Amino acid sequence: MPSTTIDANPLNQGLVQQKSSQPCVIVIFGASGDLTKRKLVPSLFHLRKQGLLPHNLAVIGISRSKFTDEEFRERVKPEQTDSEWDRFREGLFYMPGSYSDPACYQQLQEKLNRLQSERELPPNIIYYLAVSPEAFPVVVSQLGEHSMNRTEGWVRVIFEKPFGTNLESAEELNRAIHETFDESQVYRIDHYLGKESVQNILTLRFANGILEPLWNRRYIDHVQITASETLGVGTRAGYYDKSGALRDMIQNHLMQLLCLTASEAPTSFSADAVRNEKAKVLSAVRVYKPSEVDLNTVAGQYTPGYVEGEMVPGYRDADGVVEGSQTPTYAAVRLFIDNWRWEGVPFYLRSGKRLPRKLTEISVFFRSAPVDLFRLGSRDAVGPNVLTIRTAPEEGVTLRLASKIPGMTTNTRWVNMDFDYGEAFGTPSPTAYERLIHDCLLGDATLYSRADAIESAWKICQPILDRWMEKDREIPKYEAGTWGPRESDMMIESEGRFWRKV
Amino acid sequence: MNPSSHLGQEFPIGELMARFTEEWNKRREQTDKPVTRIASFNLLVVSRGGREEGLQEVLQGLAKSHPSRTIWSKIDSDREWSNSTGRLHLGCGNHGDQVCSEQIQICCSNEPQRVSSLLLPLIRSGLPTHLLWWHAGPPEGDLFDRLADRCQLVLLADSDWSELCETLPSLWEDPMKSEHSFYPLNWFRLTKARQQIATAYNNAEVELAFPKDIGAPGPVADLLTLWLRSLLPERDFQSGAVRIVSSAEAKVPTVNWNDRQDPLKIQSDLDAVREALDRPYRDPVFNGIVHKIKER
Repeated sequence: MPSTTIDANPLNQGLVQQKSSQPCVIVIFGASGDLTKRKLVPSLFHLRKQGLLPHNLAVIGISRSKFTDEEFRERVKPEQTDSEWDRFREGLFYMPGSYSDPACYQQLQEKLNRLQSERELPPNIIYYLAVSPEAFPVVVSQLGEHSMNRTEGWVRVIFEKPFGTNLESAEELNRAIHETFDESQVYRIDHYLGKESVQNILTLRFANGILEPLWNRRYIDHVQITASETLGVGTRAGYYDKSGALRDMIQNHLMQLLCLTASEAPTSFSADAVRNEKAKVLSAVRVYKPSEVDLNTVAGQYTPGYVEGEMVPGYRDADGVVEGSQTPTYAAVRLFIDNWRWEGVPFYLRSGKRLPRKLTEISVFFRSAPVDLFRLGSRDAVGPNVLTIRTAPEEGVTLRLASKIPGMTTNTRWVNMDFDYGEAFGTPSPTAYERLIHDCLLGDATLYSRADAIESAWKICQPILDRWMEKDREIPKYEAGTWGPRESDMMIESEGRFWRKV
Repeated sequence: MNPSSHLGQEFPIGELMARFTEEWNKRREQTDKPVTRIASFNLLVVSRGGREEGLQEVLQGLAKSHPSRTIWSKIDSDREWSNSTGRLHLGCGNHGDQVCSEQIQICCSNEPQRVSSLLLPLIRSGLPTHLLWWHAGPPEGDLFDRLADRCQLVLLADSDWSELCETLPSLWEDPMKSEHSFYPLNWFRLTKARQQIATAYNNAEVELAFPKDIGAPGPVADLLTLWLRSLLPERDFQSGAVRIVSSAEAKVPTVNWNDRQDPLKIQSDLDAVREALDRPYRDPVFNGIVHKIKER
C-alpha cells in the first residue's frame, strides 16, 4: 500500500521511503508453464530494474519438464532485455521434479541450503504455486512433511486461482493449507486486485469527501459491474468446460470488485482492516434459495458469429469442449447486499466470452433528478448521473453529467468528465503481478484474498451453480459478438433498468 | 498536422486499431500538454452504394459544433471483405492541441454481422451513441437492427418517404425498442417551419401552400399535414382555421396568414442533424404523428 517511513534513520525525517523487500528465495512450482514466462519472470525482472528487489534474490523453478538452469533461463527470457538481464538471470535456477515425490522436496531443500549459503541469503522463502488446483494440497502437504513450512526467517506461499471449484472444495483446500501454514503465511492471488485502477476504487471513495456521503441507498439506484472478453476459450477449453463464467470470473474477480465498491471505510489501510471490511460485504450478500436463482441469474453460451470483423466458431465447436456442453460462457447475476448502506440496491454483475469488446468497469448509477425541470418528457432527459470506474483497457474514471447546450434553449446533453490514468499521470502503472509479488515480498497481504472471503464468495455462488446444474433445459445461447443472451436483458429490464451500453 | 501522420490516407482494414493508436501517440509526442480527447457522443453513420451527397458536409459541420467520435461505414456491395479499407481524420477545431472530433471511415462489403462486429467495438463506451442512416435503404435488416439496438437516436435520411412511412410505426412501437428514438431527418428540417405555422395560428387563419410539384405525398407536406392532424381538432383542420393547398403560383412552400406570405424555413440537413442530436429523446408530438401514419 502507500509508501511509508519504516526505519529510525533521522535523515529520513520528512522523507517518504519506498519499502524494500528482504532478500529471499522464490520457489515457483509450475515453472514450465505459460504464467511463469509471460507474467512472473517479467514482473520480477521489471521489479529488479526499478531497484525494488534485493540484488541476491534467487528464483528456483520446478516442474516435471527436464531443463537445465541455462535452458530455463533461455525459456523465460523476456523479449526485450538489457545488461540488467545478464545480472538478473544469474539468480534464476531450475530443478525438475514431481510434486508428489518426496525426493523432489529433499532436493529442493538441499538446493535452498546451497543457494542461501552461496548468495548470502537469509532463510526467507516464497513458494509460488502456479500449478493446477488439484496439485495445491499435494505440494502443501509435502512442504509440511519436509518441515519446509517454517524457517528461522519467514515463509510465504502464493496460490494462483482458481481457489476451489465449489464451496466444499474451497473449504477443504483451506483446511488442508491451514494444517501446514498459518493464514498469515497464505497469499491467494487475484490479479484484478493488483490493477492500479482497482486499488484506486478505495482512494476514489475515501479520499474524496464529495463521494462518500452519496455512496449509499439514498443516492445510488444500482451498480453494474462488467467484465467482457472478445476472446473465446482458446487453448483453455479443457479447463474452462469444467469451470464456466461464474467460477472463472464472477466468484473471484467480480466479487472482489463488488467488495471494494460496497465496503465500509476501513479503520486503516492495513491488510486486516481492509480485508475485514471486504469480508463483511460478502457476508451481507443475500444467498439465494434455489427458487430465487432463476429470477436473479442468467447463464449463456456463445454460438458462431463475428467478433471484430472475423468469423469465430461457437463454444461447442472448440477443441476440448464436451459435446452438448452446458457450460456457461456468459453469466449475469443480480445481487443484493442486505446491510444498512445498500438495502434494496441491486448490484448487477456480468461477464462473458466472445462479447463485442474487451473491458472491465464498474458503473454506479445515481438516482435521477426528481423533477423533469426542463420538460423534456423523457426518462433519458433526466436520466441518471453515472460514475464509471474503468479498469481495462483504458484505466480511468468518468462521470456523466447533463449539461445545457449553449444557446437560447434549455436543451441538455450528456457530457463526460473524464480522467484517464495514462494521460493524467504520464507514467505507466506497474503491472498487476509486479504489484502483487512486490507486496508479498514485503509481507503485505492487503491485496490478497483471505480464506473467509473466498468461502463467503463460494457460499453466494454455490446455490447458483447447483441450480444451473439441475436444469434440464438447454442453456440460453447468444451469438458471438453480441452482449449475451436476451434473457440477460430481460432480467435487468424487468425492473426498468438497462445494461449500460459500452 | 505531423508530417509523419497518415491521417486521411486509405489503409487495409486490419490495420485500423494500430493506425488509430499510432495517430494518438503521435499527437501526444507533439506536445508537452496533455492531449484531451473530447467527445460527447458517438455517431454511427451508414451510407450505401456511393449515395453520399451532402454527407461529408454534414459531418464536417458537426465536427465544429458537436465533438464526437464518428464511425462512418460506407457499404459497397461490389467490394470483397478482403479489400475493405479504413481512413482516419482527427479534427482539432479551434482548441489548440485538443482533439475534439475523431472520424473513422470504413469502406467495406455488405456483410451485416461482420460490419457491425467491426463498428460496435469502436464506440467510446459510456457516451450516448446515435445512428445516422444516410440513404442506406429501408431501415430494416440485420445491420440496421444491430446498430440501432446500440443507439439512442436513429436518424433516417431517406428520400423514399412512402417506404419509410411503412416502417416507422413498427420501429416506434416495438416494445423491445422503447428506449430508442427513430426519426426521419425531415422531421428536424421542419422545426423552424413548425414555429412559423404555430405563430401564424395564434393570429389568424392559416394557409399552407405547396408548389404542385412538391405537394403530398412528399415528406415535407406530408409530415406537416400529419403534424397538424395530430394536434389540431378536426374542425380546425383543412376546412377550418388551417388549410393546406397545392398552389401553381407558389414557387416554394409558404405559410399564408393575414396578408403575409412567408416562405417556410426548411432547415438544412446539417442544422436538422444538429437539432436532432441536441434532443435525442422520444418526442410525444412525433409519437402522435406515428399514430396518424398507422391509422392511414
